[in-house]
Amino acid sequence: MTKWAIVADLGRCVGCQTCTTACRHANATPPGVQYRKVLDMEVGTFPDVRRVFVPVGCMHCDEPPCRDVCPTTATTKRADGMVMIDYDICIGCGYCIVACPYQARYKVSKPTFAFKDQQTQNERARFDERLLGVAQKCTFCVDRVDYGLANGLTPGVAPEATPACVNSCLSKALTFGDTDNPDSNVSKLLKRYKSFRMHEELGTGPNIHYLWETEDE
Amino acid sequence: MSAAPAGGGGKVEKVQTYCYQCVAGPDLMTVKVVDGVATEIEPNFKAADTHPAEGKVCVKAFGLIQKSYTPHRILTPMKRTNPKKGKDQDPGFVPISWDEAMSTIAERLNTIRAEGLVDGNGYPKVAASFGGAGTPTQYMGSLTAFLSAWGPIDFGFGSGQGVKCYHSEHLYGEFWHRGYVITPDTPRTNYIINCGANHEASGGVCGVYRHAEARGRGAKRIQVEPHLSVTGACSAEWLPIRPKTDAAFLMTLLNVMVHEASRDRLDLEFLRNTTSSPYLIGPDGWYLRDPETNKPLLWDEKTAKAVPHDTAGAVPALEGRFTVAKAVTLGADDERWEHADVEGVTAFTKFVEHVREYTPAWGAKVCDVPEARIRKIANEFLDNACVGQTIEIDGQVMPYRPVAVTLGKTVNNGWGGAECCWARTMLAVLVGALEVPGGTIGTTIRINRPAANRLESFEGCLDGFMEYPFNPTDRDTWKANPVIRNAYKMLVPLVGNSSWSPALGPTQFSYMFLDEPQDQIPRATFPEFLLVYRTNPVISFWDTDRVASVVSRMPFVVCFAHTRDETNHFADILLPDATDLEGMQLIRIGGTKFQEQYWKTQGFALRQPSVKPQGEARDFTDIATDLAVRTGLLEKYNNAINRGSHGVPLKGPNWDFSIPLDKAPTLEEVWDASCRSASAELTGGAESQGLDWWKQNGFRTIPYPETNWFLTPALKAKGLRYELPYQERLTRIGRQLGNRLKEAGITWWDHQLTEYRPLMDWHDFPGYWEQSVVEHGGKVEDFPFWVVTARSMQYAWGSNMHIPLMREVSGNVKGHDGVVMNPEAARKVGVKEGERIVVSSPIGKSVSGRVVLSQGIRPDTILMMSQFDHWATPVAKDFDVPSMNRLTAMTMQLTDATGSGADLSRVAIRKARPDEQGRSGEKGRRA
Amino acid sequence: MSEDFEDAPGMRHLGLSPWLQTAWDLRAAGNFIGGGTGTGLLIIASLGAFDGLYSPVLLLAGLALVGLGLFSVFLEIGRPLRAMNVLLGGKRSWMTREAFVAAVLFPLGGAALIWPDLAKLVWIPATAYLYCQARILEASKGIPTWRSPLILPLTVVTGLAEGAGILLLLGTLFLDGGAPEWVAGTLVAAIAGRLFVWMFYRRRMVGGEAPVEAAAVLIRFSMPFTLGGNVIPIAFLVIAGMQPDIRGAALAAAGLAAMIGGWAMKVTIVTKAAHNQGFAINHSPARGGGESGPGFKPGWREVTKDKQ
Ligand code: SF4
Ligand code: SF4
Ligand code: SF4
Repeated sequence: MTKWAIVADLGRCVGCQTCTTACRHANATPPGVQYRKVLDMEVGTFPDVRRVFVPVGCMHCDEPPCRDVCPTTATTKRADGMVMIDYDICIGCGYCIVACPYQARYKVSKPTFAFKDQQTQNERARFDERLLGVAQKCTFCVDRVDYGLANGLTPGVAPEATPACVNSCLSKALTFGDTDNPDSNVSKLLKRYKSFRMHEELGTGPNIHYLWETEDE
Repeated sequence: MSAAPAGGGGKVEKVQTYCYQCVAGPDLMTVKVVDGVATEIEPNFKAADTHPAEGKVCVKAFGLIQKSYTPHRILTPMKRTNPKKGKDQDPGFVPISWDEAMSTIAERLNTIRAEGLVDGNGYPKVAASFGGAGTPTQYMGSLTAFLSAWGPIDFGFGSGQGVKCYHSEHLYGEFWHRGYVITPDTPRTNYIINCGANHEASGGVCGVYRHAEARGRGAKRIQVEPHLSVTGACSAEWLPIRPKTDAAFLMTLLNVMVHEASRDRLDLEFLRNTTSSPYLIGPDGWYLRDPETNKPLLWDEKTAKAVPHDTAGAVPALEGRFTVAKAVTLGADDERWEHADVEGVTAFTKFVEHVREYTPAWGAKVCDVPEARIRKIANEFLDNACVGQTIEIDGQVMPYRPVAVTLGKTVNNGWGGAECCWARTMLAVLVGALEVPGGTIGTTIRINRPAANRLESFEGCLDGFMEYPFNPTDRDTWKANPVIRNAYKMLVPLVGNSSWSPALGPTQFSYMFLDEPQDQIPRATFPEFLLVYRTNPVISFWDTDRVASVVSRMPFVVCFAHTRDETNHFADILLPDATDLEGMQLIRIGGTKFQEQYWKTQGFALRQPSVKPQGEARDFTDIATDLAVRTGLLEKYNNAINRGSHGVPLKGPNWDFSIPLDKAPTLEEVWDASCRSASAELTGGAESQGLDWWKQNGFRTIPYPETNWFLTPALKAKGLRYELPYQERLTRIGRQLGNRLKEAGITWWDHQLTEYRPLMDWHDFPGYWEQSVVEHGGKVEDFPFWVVTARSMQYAWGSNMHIPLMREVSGNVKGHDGVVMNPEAARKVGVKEGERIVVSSPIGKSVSGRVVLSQGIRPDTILMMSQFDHWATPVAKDFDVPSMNRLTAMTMQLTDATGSGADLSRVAIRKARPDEQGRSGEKGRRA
Repeated sequence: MSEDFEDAPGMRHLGLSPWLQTAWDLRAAGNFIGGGTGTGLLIIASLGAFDGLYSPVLLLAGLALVGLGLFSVFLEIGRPLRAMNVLLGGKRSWMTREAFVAAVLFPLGGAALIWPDLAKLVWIPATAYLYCQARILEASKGIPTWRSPLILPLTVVTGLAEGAGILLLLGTLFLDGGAPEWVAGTLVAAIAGRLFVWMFYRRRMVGGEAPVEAAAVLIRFSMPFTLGGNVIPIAFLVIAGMQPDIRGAALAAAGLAAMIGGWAMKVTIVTKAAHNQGFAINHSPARGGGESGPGFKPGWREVTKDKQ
């Protein structure tokens, strides 16, 4: 089996938001809709303070509550783990948005542009009416992954087959790959480092793994 | 399934080009163009093995699409119709044709040419301001050839140089070890003490990449800084130091290393043979020299005699006092004294005695950090230094010293910057970690020549050090009159006289002296013609209201303008240039560049139009050629292109693609010839692919040896030493400069002369800023806080505040919304998160903004990130976020000997009144 | 959400701590109000049919409330033209199931207007509908105050309280002799149940199962709710028992207060104490050779322990 996942190395991430912008480009999302974004957390009190940058987005959960609640079957989970939304079925009831414990989903009801009412050439070229009034979220760049698979490329290794955020990351904090394959890039990282997953106690089985420390030898 | 994003169809091209928006570039990227519209920026995956960060670009590059298509773009040349210039005046810009714009400009220029390029006071009539630390040249095509054809131009109107740069580091770094910018050898280093450098915000793609890799290896970085920047966030530890006390901290580390640690933990071999540590100092403070050759003496332990420093086989004594039978000392201005049986003290012993008073207990008090941490850091530095170990790179065995010390803005400029630079370099010197693998190394040179290879930039001098192109201070050749308004050549010997030097001088003087004429130098005059490109000094300088006032009085200002901004608000003509994704230019890549760009290759990259220019925007090269034609400078201009002013000489040993001198070349002709020459240069003349090939391939490189990253082997190969710790040359030059100024009756530079001394010492540097409060008629206790600033990766150098995408994503990073302050400080002022405060500085200026609470800042310090405070730039003018630039004093008193100041001020804070809550900052500010 | 971005919240770096969800507003709350009160009424009226209670007014009112609730939520969806797709998710979604049940409830209720005997069956789909509503909230894993298992009894019992309440009200207005005696008793029982569950629910939310801000909303709401929505109705019932001359009015007032109390609780839970989960990390990372540190769960009372 295949299970796509992202491994985010919190020791590496610098919070630069390059991934955020790369995703905004790749998916042509409207202003403020950040399928990938990176949080800036401050932990502790002066002078014993740390600042941690935490890439978040859809976790492509093993047991996705968003899918469970969806009354239209627009949200589905593929055999390879990707949680998908069919924009042509979704009615935009917003139920999945409140069901997602990762705040990963967005709904935009009217066209919005970077310069308010002035649509730029690139926004015009990439405007997608299908996305109005329906739920949207990170797709793990499924189009790239599927393109890669169809062309014999390894997602997470070949850039053409890898999510845009991962490709763009300056610090190589993000890695995409198949956690079901013990020899994959991500499996190797998970062996070498200690990791946790966010809100794991909720039983969602999220698929972004956060590395925080090297595994003891 | 409908997951594929829209707009992927149509004719898709992936255009290879570069981003050089910031000084940490260039970085290579690909623009995805669908049916002629740029839709996505991507890394250049083809450069994964060539570029030091795998062909990636940072967040700023992703703003370029909105930059191209912004509805706020200036699409035609414009002229001002309102002759009155002022912040509150509507310039009344109206569109005009290119022909009208160019003939207006040419008319001005031709009048100047006819009447003389230099005015009665000796100042060039034409001035140009190109900020961005050299990045504008990466976008101005062949304009550089036009500028070179023109003749004298005042490049000294700064837009941040000196206050927003690493000024002391630039000058002293080049002086001591040919390092314009100093970085760790990050791929190998294991321990970094970082006083305030913001690698993760301003180190660019390569900096971020290299430091992430270093963290991945387990390297440890200690961030010493008043607030917890993103770089602090990514460091192993944070030490919240009191602002501007870094020199004390570093000197304390020196103290621990020489007074607490055992000597054998230092690199004694390096100190003995690669530095001037063993040189003998006479009682008058000058080197004891051999009476025959004038060479400095050292004590040879083998023969128990003082011998010239380069005596073969000598074993120099590192420490001690020795009696020298006969010696001479050389002072300033050819003073010479003869000595017999004179006591000589080694420079190292002088140094050891000099730092004795800087104990950890003392440092802890000055810096407000725990004594134990200081000691721990010093010892960890020693533990990690690996003294005695070597490493092999490309077959060459070199010392391996994986420890480094880096300095950031405000630490390494302004008063105290020189001391920090000296102490930092000494830390490296003590363990032999200067310019060796793993250690503290320089990136590139800008004052010395040839810029392309710093290892070839020096010959030895009599004293056994690298020669340095000081501006003369001797009686005969000292420049008693400034050549440009900022007087760099006259006042700052260290800044040299390269093409970069004018813009490195005390650039604030260009503005200051216009209103504050200084005794004994010709009164500064307004340039008759000011050209501005990719810079916005009215926002990015210090005391910006004052800069605005000066710019508003410039008689004729031409701005290349992407959108309206605060500087071009005062322009007479606006010109739209084909911008990043639209223009054409071939630039050099590779080797070692400003920031952490250390390549293993070198070559060229092409910026080619990904999309058609918007509106009537014109390629810069076409504009430059047109200017050359209209000003009758075509032949000189073509000549300059053939010489390579625009980046590539068109003629080499066995190739010649020169363009004819008498014909105006087209854009394609210039760059095709340049491409051919580049191909030839990279292949020793064997190949000559032109523009078409480069458009297809984007970039081309040949290997650049990694061993070239390190200066020490080259220095040793020439039998030279670093002039550290003792600064005899600088002291002499300072004395001479003092003499010259005195002869000229100039007293206003006296305080600056104190920076020239043989061993740098701690002064109460924060006190200089407190003194500034008093000078402005205030009381220090009324200004209880420090304000500092920090760069942000989303904006640094980008001129991109008008790009909504940057605004959007920068919002994910704390501090982009207001004034960062510690909750304890907020309690004192009586404000809560999100409430508005008014921050005032001693110069009588105030800004206002919302409180952003953070535990990651000292309670005595507030932070205003980046440089906002726009009032004309579209999008940005609605941010309602203050900038400290309006608060910073621009004064002689705060100008150090290199001509720089620092981003620092004492401030008062109060809660804003209900009538000061306006969304646009203006309302609050007026109060 | 893009909508949020447009009015540019003052400090954009915030949004680590749970914030108030905006996907469901009063329109969604309307569904729980109409559906809860409507089905509560239908259940009680239907069960009352075994005791001889039959009133088309009650049936009509119940169905109308449920219908208004559905219409209200219809106004919230982004693609109303595709509303029928709501029927596709029966395998997992309680929202689809609610729609299925509605498809039974309305015809049956309508039929009962013609064949009164059928009224005895209406409680079945009505109960199912009410249960679906409770499960809809409980399945919203993103909202801690909704996903609590206690939301199930709370939703059901308040539905009954509201139903009994409106029955008393309508009874006073439309039924000869008012509502049957036992309705007041039912209301007392339902209110007691509601207070009981509320106490537990509130304690668990405040005790750490909900983000601090959501818990604060519940704390602020608790006293007015307890008094206005529960104690006062009981007081009116007592008055009704003691003062026969104003009995009708007192019963109606008791019913009204109990119903409005339930509505207020739903508006509060659905739109005010509806903070999402926020973000959290279990550990701060080691940066290079540094040490790792504690976790962080902004906006929550308990910081995740560092499970080293
Ligand atoms: S993160 Fe949210 S949207 Fe993504 S699969 Fe999990 S529940 Fe669904
Ligand atoms: S690009 Fe990489 S380093 Fe930058 S914020 Fe995203 S994950 Fe972090
Ligand atoms: S802005 Fe600077 S660091 Fe970023 S991609 Fe461009 S040149 Fe590189």
